[in-house]
Amino acid sequence: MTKFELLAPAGDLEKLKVAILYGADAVFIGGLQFSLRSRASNFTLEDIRKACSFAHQHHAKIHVTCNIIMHNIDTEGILEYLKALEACGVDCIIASSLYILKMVKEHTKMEAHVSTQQSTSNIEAVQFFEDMGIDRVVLARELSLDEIDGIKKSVNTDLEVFIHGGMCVSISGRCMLSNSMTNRDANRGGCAHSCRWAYDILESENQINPKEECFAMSSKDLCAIRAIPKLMEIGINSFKIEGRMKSLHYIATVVHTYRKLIDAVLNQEKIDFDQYEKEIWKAENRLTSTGFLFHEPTIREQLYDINLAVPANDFIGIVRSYDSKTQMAYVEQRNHFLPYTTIEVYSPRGTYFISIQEIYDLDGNSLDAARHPQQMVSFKSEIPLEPYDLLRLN
Amino acid sequence: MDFFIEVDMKIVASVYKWEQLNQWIDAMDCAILNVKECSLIYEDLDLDQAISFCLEHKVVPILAMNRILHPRDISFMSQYIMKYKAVAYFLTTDLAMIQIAKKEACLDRIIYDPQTMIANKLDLKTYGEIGCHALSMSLEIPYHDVLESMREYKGNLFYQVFGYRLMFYSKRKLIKLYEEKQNIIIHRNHLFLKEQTRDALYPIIENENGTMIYRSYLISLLKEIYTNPCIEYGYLESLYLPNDIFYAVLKLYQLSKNKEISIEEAIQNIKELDLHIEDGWTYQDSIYQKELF
Repeated sequence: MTKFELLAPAGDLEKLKVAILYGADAVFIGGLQFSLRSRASNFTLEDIRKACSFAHQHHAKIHVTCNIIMHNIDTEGILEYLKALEACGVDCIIASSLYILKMVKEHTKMEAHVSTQQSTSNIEAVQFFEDMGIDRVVLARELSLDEIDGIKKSVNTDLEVFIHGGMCVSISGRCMLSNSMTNRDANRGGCAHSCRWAYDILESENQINPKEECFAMSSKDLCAIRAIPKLMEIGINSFKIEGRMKSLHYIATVVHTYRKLIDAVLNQEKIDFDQYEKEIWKAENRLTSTGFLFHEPTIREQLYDINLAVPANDFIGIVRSYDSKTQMAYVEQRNHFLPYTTIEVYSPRGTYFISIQEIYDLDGNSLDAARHPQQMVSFKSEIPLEPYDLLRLN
Repeated sequence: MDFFIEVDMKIVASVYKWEQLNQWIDAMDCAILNVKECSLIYEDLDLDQAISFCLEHKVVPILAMNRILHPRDISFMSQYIMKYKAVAYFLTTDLAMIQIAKKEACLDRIIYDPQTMIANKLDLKTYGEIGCHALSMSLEIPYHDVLESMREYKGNLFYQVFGYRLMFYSKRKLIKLYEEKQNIIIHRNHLFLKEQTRDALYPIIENENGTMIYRSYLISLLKEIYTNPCIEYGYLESLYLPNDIFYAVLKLYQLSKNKEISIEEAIQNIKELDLHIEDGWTYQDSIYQKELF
């Protein structure tokens, strides 16, 4: 039987710990070199060592992205870097460069995973990588469930698919919009998201779109909740959540929701998709769709008004410690909340509600509100809380 | 049968219509034939007729098979390779075409252009080990990077030297979707995209393969390719240019190659065509959001 891996993103060590505690089997991170998503708070080698140690203690794996499309100036030191990652305990390297993939296979014991930047969309392309001894191929996001099924039936290599998060409207890796318009190279970590800007469309010199409207190209994010049972039936090996730049709350919620869903499918439970989607929406701040999975994108899969993104502000804090003797919980504030409120505790152990009374600062002063981001506050909770429990408004 | 006996750069023109092939045939060494059945961008060129015409005129036909392929495309593409491998070369973008060519023992017919994927000397060398007839490098790198990379790769380089360059390729039919959303009809005739805060006009094309957007200016590497030659196949893209203008450019490249006019003269004549030509990344590298090491 296929072992299904839930693969989560993390932009820093804390997010990585949260991803694992909330149910990820593996986490993908970027190092300081050779990684896209330059604005994600990428990991130093020391961070990566700590990440591997934490992950392995929890029986999880660490994938490191080395997925920039290198120019000559970027190529120096790649083999040394791969060996340093291996020494840190990294399990897998995700890359689109044929050279990097080859180096991983020939000079390390780490797994080599082909990045979605290669846009692998058919059996023969997967077989090309199989012939190289590649361990896993991340499929292109433009494939339908039927196409994924057909590919899986004909190849031996592990396959990974994106199940949640941002969707490039262009074929991955083939987009030069950002580079052409801003000189920021998307394939080297500098994407300016030019596909989300407002455009006019013209025939010769005449504007065709209505004056008050723009021609928009952007795609809604992917949410594959309803496709998970089918993807599991197909035997996809790894389900990838996109978003190394996303918040801790987002990662915890999305990871935990998919964890519960995958486990429910494995346990042959009756699935109420609406409930899972509702859960995701507590952390999601962009509109979502099923991308190409069920059909070719329609206008429902396109994002015509970027302002329709919904800010998620239910997340009010993260538990940093709990004193069982005094029953005091110490919480880092993330959004405004008041004393005498019922709040939801979202934890790897489950979800439940508590009523809080007074809120204090660290000097013991009573507060009329927790209003400062990242301020440490405390309150009494008879129900024990644990570090990395998340608190949300009811 | 080996069509390539010249040592100098071959002039390669992209062709979409019969009248283009007919008009331009004397100014090119190779023709990229773009047809509905297998090319990313196409109009109404008849492939068999075009190949015959090329062969009659001793022009090497290169069949454009430059799409990212879905499983449903593979069988059809395989048939085209089998049918034309004795007389044509294949310009491909998907790795599947390399696998198919390996099975059909015709890797030496494959010109592999993965668009952005080969952007450095190490990758060029690694792809070179596959054994394709020619490789293309990214159009997002400076020309000195191309030259440096070619020092370590001894194979053939296929490189765009003139015309609008592709900068976006989506499988989504973005214009069709916008029509539906706005309930309007947009005629697919010489369309441009304009970002609302910029003046630049980006050619945009939509067809059954999705939506393709090109840079707002033409590139012309006439000076570079003849002063620092490393390109076996210099490809001139004809999209969005009037046939007469493109023919004039093609002739200037040919005359320059044959040393019938000087490079300076050819460059001056191209300038007089009043085209919007820029350097792109010929001399300037794009920004790598470099991390703190």
